[in-house]
Amino acid sequence: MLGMIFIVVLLTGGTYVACRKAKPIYESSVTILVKQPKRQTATVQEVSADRSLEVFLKTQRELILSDRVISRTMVLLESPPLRETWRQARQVASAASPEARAEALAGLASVIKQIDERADAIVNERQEDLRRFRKSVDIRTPGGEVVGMSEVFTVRVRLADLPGFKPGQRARTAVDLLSSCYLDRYWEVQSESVRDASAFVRQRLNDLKTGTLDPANKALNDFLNTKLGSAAPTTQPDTALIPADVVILEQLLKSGTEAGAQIIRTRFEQEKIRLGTELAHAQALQQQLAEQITDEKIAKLITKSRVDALEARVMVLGEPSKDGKEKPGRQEELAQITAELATMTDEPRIIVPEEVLRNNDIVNKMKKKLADLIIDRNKMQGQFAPTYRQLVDLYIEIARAKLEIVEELKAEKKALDVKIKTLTAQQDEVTRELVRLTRKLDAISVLLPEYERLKSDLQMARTSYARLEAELLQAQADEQQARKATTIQVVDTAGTPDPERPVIPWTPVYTVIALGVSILLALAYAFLADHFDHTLRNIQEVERYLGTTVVGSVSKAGRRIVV
Amino acid sequence: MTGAQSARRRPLEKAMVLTESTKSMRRVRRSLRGEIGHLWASVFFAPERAAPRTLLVTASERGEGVTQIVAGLGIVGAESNAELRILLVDFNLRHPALARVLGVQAGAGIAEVIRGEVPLSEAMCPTALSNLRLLPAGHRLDQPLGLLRSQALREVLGDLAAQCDHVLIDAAAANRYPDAQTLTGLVDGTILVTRAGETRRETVAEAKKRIEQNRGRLLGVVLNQRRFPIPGFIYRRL
Repeated sequence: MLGMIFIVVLLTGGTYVACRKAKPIYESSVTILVKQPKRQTATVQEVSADRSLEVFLKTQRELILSDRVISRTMVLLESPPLRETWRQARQVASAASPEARAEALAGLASVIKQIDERADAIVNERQEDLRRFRKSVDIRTPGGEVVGMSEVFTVRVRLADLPGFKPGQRARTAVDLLSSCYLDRYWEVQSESVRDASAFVRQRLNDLKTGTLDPANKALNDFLNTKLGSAAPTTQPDTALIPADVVILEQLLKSGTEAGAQIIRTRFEQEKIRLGTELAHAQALQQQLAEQITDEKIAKLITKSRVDALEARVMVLGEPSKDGKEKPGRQEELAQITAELATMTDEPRIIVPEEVLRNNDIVNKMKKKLADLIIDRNKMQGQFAPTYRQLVDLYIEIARAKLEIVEELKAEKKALDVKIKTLTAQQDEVTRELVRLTRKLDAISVLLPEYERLKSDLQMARTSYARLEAELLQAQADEQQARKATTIQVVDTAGTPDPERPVIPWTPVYTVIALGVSILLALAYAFLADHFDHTLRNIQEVERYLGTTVVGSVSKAGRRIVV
Repeated sequence: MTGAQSARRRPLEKAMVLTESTKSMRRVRRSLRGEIGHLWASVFFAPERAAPRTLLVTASERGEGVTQIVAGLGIVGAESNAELRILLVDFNLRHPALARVLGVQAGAGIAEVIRGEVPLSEAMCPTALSNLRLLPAGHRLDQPLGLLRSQALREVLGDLAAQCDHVLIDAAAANRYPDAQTLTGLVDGTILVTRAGETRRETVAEAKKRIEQNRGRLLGVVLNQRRFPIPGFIYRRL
């Protein structure tokens, strides 16, 4: 029991006393508001708004905890005179009229330079202090680590007092200085980085244009000018390359050298083959016609004049006599005429080639008419005497038709002759062209690798140029963005912590915790003590452990008394 | 060990308040007498055995209050029945204290009686109560062991038992000295005094073993200076 009380009192009291004696650490904080402008340029690859804010806040955290900001704050915190100078310079700079602004800023810059010299010393020589100070700075966003929608963050500094500061003032001063240093540094970094980025891209663009793109262009042009055109030395005038042959080069380039040449050649060869086929066809037809219209056959034909004569005669014979009597010998004569004409009806036979029938409409019609006439004649031959007038007329008709067909075929044959001549000429032309082309292709193929190289160089230069142009656009957009950059404001001024209530130690809470812990410890002690206590305390224990009866027990009196 | 040393270690005699009579003291004494009365009853009036004529009171370690209990038993027993002749024997030859507790001026004692230097009747001292007598330890001995082994001891004990109704012997700590061990075989019964919350059970068990090894008859244990978890003044109000 006493032991328990002792433990509780010792621990609780000890904690309380320790809290009282400990060096208090105070906390002070400022809240900083971030306002980002809406991004408007479409070229900027848009991260989602939340995401960009998060990234931004993370960057700010890095910036605040950077060596530069921290060390500057330390310098200012350690040196009151420098702090005063700096504060005044800042005030002057912010209050300066637009005319005096440049001068005021220069003044501030010189002070900052002074600070930076000492800050560098801290960074180089007092890493441990730097680390400790950084540890005392805490940056919080409401809602924890995942910032999301928050546009506000809080910078907290926890510091113990040092001589030269009123209680709690050191933390407050530190957080004040830290936020100011951070804002200064933010603007420095912002303007530097944007200016650099844009200028850098523009410089590279320029370099690329003068260094790569233009030479590539020029090389290609020179190449084309020297190889294609009048300047080129040539032995065969008809295969000389002309500027228009760039088309062929392009074509070759597109389809690959060998295949491309083949394609062009094949086209010409196909043309040649087509002409050959057509020519052969025409020749065959001509042959056919020639067979049908031989001199021999023509000789067999009754001439046109003779047919006319016969017709006239038939007309005369046909006239009715004045006396109404039939002229003697008329029948015989008619029979004779009929016989003469009849020979021609069947002989010579002329077969009109199908090709001609198809192509020549007149011949076709004639042929059909002739066929009809022959059918009519065949009919009448059976019914009437050979001297029958109409039959005779029919014979005449047939003869005439046949003559006409023959005439037509002759004309057809002539036309074919002309056609064959033309085709032959064309074929020759194509063959010649083919030879010329082959030579030309050979000449151009030699040029091709060079051309290809130059061309791809140019293409590559153009691609990278285009990319850089896009980058420049982006950089310019960023620059624009930076001009209306994120506004960062310190929302509230740092409050002075209550000297009676430092963050560490938090006396009441610590004491209560110590009380709780000590009670637990005391209980643990009690149980342990009981467990290891082997004394006999009551009758039950005696009987349990010794197996002996208890004959009596005497209470402890306050003092030793003999009854 | 000298008397001065003994006094420093155990300021027993300071506490021998027989005359003081405040209200609280009276209450304490009354309750103590009640408890010792119970002890007397359970030792001597136990139905299952005959009342021991010679009773050895010992403890496992020093300072457990054997002398207190012997004195208390003597006084309570003597007061309870004027007919009873009770003899207290201080066999604590090394640190005799019973005479001081009872406020008796002691001279020669049992040591001299056993050695035959002084007759028994001379050695016995009267006390404030007529039927209570004391046989003190006598002068300090260097070799009590010799006394214990002597035949004279048996004879003296037999004489004592014959002269009195009850002989209560105060013996030294059983775990330290062989006195109690030896004596326990010569008496009718032995009781073991332990201080509640002080003496370890292993120690008590050892003492018990010693007694039983010597064919002693252990009547029981007395829990001396016993405390209750809830203090008395609270307990009385509950």
